[in-house]
Amino acid sequence: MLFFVVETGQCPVSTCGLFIMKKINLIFKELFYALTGALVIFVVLELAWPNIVLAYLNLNWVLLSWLFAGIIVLVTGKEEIKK
Amino acid sequence: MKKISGIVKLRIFLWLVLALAVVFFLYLAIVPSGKITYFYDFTNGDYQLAGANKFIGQLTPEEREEPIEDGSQKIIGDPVYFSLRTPRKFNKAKLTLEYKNESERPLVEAGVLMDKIIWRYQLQPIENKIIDQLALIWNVVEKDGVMLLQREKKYDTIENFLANLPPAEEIALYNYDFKKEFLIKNYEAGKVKQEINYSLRGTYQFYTYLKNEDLDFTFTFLDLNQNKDSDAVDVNLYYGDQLITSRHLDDDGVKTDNGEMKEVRSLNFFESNLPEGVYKVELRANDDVITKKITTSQSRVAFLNRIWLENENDKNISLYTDSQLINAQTINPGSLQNIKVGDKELEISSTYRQFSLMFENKVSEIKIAKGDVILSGSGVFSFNQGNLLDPNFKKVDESFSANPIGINYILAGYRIPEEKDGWKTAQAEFDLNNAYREWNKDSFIISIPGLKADDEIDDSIEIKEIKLELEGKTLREKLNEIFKK
Repeated sequence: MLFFVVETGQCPVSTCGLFIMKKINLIFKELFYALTGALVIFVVLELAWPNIVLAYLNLNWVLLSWLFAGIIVLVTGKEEIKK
Repeated sequence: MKKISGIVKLRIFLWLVLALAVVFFLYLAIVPSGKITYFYDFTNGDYQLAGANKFIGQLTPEEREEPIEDGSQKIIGDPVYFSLRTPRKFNKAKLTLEYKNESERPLVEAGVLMDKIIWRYQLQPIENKIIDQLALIWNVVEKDGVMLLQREKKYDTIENFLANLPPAEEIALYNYDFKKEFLIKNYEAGKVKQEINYSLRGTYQFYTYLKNEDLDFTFTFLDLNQNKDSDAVDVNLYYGDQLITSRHLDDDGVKTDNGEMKEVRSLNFFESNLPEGVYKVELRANDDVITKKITTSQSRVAFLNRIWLENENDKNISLYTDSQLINAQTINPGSLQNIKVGDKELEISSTYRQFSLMFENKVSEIKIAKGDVILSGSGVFSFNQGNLLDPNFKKVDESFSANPIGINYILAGYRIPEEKDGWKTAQAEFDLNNAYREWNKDSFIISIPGLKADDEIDDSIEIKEIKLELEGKTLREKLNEIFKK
């Protein structure tokens, strides 16, 4: 997914770490928002029409991915502030 | 033109994936074409992601099957069940089974649950080894899924056979609904009322015969209130397969499982001006309901296939049956006993286990020393030999033997399974319109009569594939229906 964001020649050697961290933070922030949306939509769909999603997808995996993305966003955001 | 940044592209991509996922789920839930196929997962690695709910549930109960191994599973006891969870209702289901029958058991059938109170399944044949073997030596005429087997060829077509029927005693049927009027010559209506003073538990069906008389039954019920369900009673009257009328008795008011027994209640079932013929009375009730007594003016009352004689019956109960197979079972340790069937004995040596006995008598007397026994077979039971009445043709089931009872013709709604590399493939079609459906699930059964998990015999049916092809209304048909209203 990095190819969407990282554009060559934008990373000066001295601030390269910070640059990558920022990009990762941005990517996972987008992922986090999308997974939040997915969770809400899937839960609403399940409530309205039982088993419509659960028949194909275990929502626990979506929840875990959402948590993972959230943690990455927090960690990379914190690192960015420190630097 | 403004350049779209990488982040915005990613955002668009992710939300597009989510939108596609929603469309995908809705598409699979609506099934716009009205047709979809589901498979049983024998590999734990199909198209569904790990942990997702399966459309076809696991085979149950566990003790009647072995674990899945190399993409197949062995069934070692009868029956096993599985559920089909569908996001919408379908009208038809076509079940395909790929299996190996490594048992001596001649019958394999599959069915869908139609009535949960009396656990009635719409059964369809998968394999009938008796017909398969007879088809090798008898003459076979086949048309549109119907087979006519003749010991000696007399009829060229099934239509010819149906137009010029041989005597009923020479015909056996299997999965074929054959409507033939059954009349008893020299029958005289009963002049005195008879009482069946044996307590019967739960549901049962019986045949009765009417000629120039009123149908008159009085049932006396007692509600044990041992389970939490409401214990209503429905009595239905059928002529052929047609429901004529019914009566309903509400629960006694105790809808808990406290075991409180109120006074006995009666239900009178009276109908006049019914034409001559055999009628079937069906009592639909759960196992909390005991029929203490049946009083009737009819002279013929013959219980069909199964009765549960309650514990409080007097000792030494005598019954008569025309079934060539008797199954007996008890859930009460105090009712373990030896049952006499004709000149043979059937030992019920443990609870919750079915014991079977086969014999060739046309009519046999069954003597039971203690009550609380569930008797079943493939014929009728009555408390008086003169009451026996069985309008059905002989059925080609696990107890069938053509020679002793002089069967020369078999008419069967059956196709011999195809065999390839030792695996057989058979199909059965079910009408799901009136099937019992709960929590978006239909319940299916695979029945192999006589296959027992707890016997010493190492036999099984190995299943490699369960496929369900479903058919229902298309989206267009559904929309047309909604807008027409």
